[in-house]
Amino acid sequence: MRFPHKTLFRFNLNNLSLRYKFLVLKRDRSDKLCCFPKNKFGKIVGYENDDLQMPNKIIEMGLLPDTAFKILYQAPFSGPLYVEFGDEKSRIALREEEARFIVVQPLT
Amino acid sequence: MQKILNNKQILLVGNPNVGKSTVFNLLCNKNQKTGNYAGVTVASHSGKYEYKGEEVEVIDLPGSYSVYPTSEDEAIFSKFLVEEQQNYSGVVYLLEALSIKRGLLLFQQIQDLGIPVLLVVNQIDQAERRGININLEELSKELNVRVLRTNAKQNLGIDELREAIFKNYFTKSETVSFEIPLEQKGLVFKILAETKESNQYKVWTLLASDTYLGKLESVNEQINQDEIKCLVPKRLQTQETIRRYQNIDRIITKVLSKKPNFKELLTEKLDKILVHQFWGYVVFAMILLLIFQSVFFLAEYPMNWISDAFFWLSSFTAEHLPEGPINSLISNGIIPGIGGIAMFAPQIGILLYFLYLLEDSGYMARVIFLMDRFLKPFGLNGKSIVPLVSGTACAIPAVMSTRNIENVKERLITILVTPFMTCSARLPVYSIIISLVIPDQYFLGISYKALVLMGMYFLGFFAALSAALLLKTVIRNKTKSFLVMDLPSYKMPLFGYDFKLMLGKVWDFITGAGKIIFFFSIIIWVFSYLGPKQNQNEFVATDVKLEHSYLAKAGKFIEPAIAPLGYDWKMGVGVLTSFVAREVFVGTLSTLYSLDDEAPEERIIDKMRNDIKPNGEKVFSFATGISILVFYAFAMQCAATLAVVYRETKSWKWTLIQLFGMSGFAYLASFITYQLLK
Repeated sequence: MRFPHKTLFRFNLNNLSLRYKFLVLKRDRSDKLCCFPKNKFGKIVGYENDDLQMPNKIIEMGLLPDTAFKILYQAPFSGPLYVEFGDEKSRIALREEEARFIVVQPLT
Repeated sequence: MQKILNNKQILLVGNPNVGKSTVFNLLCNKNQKTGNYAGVTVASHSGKYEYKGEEVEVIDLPGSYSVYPTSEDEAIFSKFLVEEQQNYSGVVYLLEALSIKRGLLLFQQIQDLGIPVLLVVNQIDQAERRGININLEELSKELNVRVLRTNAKQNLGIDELREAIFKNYFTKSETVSFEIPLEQKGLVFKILAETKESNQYKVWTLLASDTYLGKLESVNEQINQDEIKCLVPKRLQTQETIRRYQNIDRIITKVLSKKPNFKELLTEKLDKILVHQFWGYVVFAMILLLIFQSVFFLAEYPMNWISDAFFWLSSFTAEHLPEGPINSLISNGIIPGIGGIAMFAPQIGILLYFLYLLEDSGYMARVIFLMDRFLKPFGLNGKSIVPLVSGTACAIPAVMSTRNIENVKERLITILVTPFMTCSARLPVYSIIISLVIPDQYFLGISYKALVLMGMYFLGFFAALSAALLLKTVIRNKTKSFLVMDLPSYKMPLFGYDFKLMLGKVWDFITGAGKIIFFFSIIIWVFSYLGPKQNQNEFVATDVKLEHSYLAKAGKFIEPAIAPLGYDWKMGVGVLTSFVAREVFVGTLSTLYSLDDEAPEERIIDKMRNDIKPNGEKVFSFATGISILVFYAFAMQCAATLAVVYRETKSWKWTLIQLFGMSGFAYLASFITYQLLK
C-alpha cells in the first residue's frame, strides 16, 4: 500500500508533511515497528521503502528480516523507541518515523 | 635504544564502542597525538610505538558500521581507508565478542576491497560469562584471516598483537565474499574489462556509493551511461547489506555456540530508571547539576593557582628582562594573554572529563535518546545535546564534537548556535558586572547575584534554541535527518584513560587557542603601547599611558556608536579587545582604570563602582550593567572559536554570518535593554 503523499500535502516544510502523513495513518499501522505494542515479542518481516527514504543504517545495524525484537521503552511525547533485538540482544534507538519503514508481525 | 630499522603504518578499525580506544591506548601508551584540533586532519588519533626495531604508527580511525558513510566522521574513515591504501601495511580490525555479527559486516567489506587485515576479537571473557562460546579457529578458517584474542580492559593480548603486527600477519584476500547480484553482474564485469581494476567488489562500491567512495568518471566514456544512471545506490547498498548478513549468519552458526544463560542484568536494571519517562529526566538534571557544581567549585582552586602563576611570571619577566618595548610586550601583552586562556583549562578539563566518562559508560546514548524529541523541533538532533552541554565550558571542543551528527543541516545549525551557550570565558565578565550592579539582596534564600547568573545561563540556552529555530526555517536541505543509534551496554568507564584523553584535548585547546591569542595579544598590545605623537619630533608616541594610546583613540572613536548602549569609551575599548577573547574585557578594564592586575579584584571593583560621569550619574549604572551582560551573552567574541567553526564548516559564508549575525544581534539586544532600563 502506497502512502498517498502526492494527494495529501504539496508543500514540504521540513518533515511536516511526513509527520502529517504519519500521524493520520498511525492508527492502523500495527504491522509496523513504530506502532507495535511495547514489551511484546515480534519479528521483522520486511521493509516498506517505496519512497526510498529509509536510512540504510537500520539494516547495517542488524534490523534484518526474521530478526526477533521487543520494544522496551519510548521517550515521552512520541519520542524515539528503545528496541532490543537479535540473537546478540543489541539495543537500538530510533524515531517513530524511522520505525515506520519496518514491517513486523507478532512472534507466536 | 634499538636502532629503528623499519617504519610501518597500520589502521585500527571497528564498530563504535568496541574498545578501539582502549586497545589504541595500550598499544601506544606514550606517544599519542589526540584531537583534530592540533591539525591532524584525517584521523581521530594517531600514535606510535616501537617494537623490535620497528616503529609502528597506529592510526585510530572513527568507528563505523559499514564502508558506506553517513556522517562526516564516517566519511573521513572511508576516504582514508580507500585512498591511503599505499601508505599503510594493513588494518587491525577489532570485533567485540558480544556483537560479532554486526562487526563482521564492515570486516568483510574491508576484506573484499583487497585490504590486508588482521582480526582481533575483544572481550571474549564477557561473552563466555553469558554462555556464548566462540570457536576462534573455525572463525579464522571461515574468514580466511588470522584471529587474535584480547581482553583490553585487563591488558591481555596486546603483546601478541604487537608481535603479530611485527610479523605482518595481515592477510590479503584473493577472493570476494560478496556475491554480486545478477542484475548488476553484467555491468560490473563490463567495467572490469574496460578499466585496469581487477577487484569486482571495488567496482561494485563505486556503483553503490552516492558520494564519498569515489567517482566513476574514468569509466564513463566506454560504458553505457544509461545503465549506470538508472542504478539507485541506496538500493544496491541495501541489497549488499542483506546478502552479507545472510552469509554472516551462516558463518556464525558454525562458529558460535550458545548455552541458554543470558543474563543481561546491569544494563536492563539501570535503564529502567535512566530511561524512565519521568525519572530519566530527573536523573539527567541532577547529573547536569552535579557537573556544573563541580566545574565551578572544584575548578576554582586550580584556576587561582594558574592565574597566580601567570601573574608571577609576568612580573618576573618584567623585572628580569631589559627595559624596553619587548619587555612590555612579553610581560604585559603575551604572558597575560596566554594566562587568560590557560586559566580556563581547569573548567574545560573538568567538564570534558565528566563528558568523556558519561560517554564511555554508555550513558550519553541514553541522554541523546531522552533529548531527541525536544531538540528536533528546533532543527537539532538528539546528538546535539553533547555539543550544547560542552559549550558551557568552551565552544571549541563542543563544535568539534559535532562530527558524529549525520545530517548536514543539523550539524551546521548545531555548530552555529553552540557559541550562544554560556561559556567559561564569559564568566569573568559576568561576575564583575554582577558584583558591580546587582544589589546584595536575597530572594527565598538565594542571592540576587546567583539568580542573575543562572538567568544568564538560561538566556544563552534560549538564544541557542531560538537561533536554531530561525536557521531551521532559513536553511534548505534535501537529506533526511535520522536518529538510528546504537545503545551500548553500560560499562565502567576507564577513568585513567579518559583522564589522559581529556588532558590531550585541553592541551590542544591551549596551544591552538593560544596561538591565536598570542597573535592578537601582540596586536592589541601594540595598539595600547603606541599612541598619537605628543611632541613634534616623534613619529608616534611610545610607551604611553593607556588612555593616550591608539587603542583608547579607537574606543573614543566608536563612542557615539556605543553610547546608546550605555557604554563609555573605556567599555568600548574593552568590547573591542574582547572580540579576540571575551575574558580580555576584564583585564582591559582593570588596566584602563589605572590599576594593574596586581590589585585584588575588590579594588578594581571599587574604582569602577565609584566612577561617575560628568553629570553625577554612575558610569556603571544598573542599565549599563545589564546592557553589557546582554551584549556578552550574544556577541561572537572569540577568534579561536571562529577559527574552529571555519575549519568544521569549510565555509567563509557561514563563519561570517555567525560573526556578524551574533554580534549584530548582540548590539541590538544591548541597545534595547539599555533604552528600556535607563
